[in-house]
Amino acid sequence: MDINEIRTRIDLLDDVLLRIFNERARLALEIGHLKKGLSLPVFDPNREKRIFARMKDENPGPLDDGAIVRLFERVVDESRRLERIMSHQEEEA
Amino acid sequence: MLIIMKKHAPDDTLDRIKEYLITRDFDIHQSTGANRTIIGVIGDTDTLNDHEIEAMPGVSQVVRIKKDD
Repeated sequence: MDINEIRTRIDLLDDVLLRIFNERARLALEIGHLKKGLSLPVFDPNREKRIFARMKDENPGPLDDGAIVRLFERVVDESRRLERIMSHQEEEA
Repeated sequence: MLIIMKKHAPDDTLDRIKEYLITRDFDIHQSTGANRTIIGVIGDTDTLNDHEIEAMPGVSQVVRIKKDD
């Protein structure tokens, strides 16, 4: 494969990642609604630890476990941020 | 603001810092390294007390980001 073919494949994978990130975010918002209804806190450290541990266990490489954890930390941080914004919007409505 | 945790700070100390920030409506960006974790705090950090955070277990240093002119 030449460089352009590889970049085309990367672009296609980025498109898939974009859809997956947003689908995950939609599900996180659903969890946020449920947590709010049950008066549960946004921050659930045990759940976050389970996500990171599971992703390390499932990691086939070549990204090392540290890289996988850092990537998922960003995903989790942004999910939490989205939940916070949704919560404020609902309170203002 | 950056909160730099001590080397090998126990998980529960990190959880307490995160909970402290999240319950005060701050967004965080966590980055876990081999030895220590750094938490980037996003929001109006003027309302946060550096000394109070620095005194919390597991915290090594609090670094303020200089405001743009």
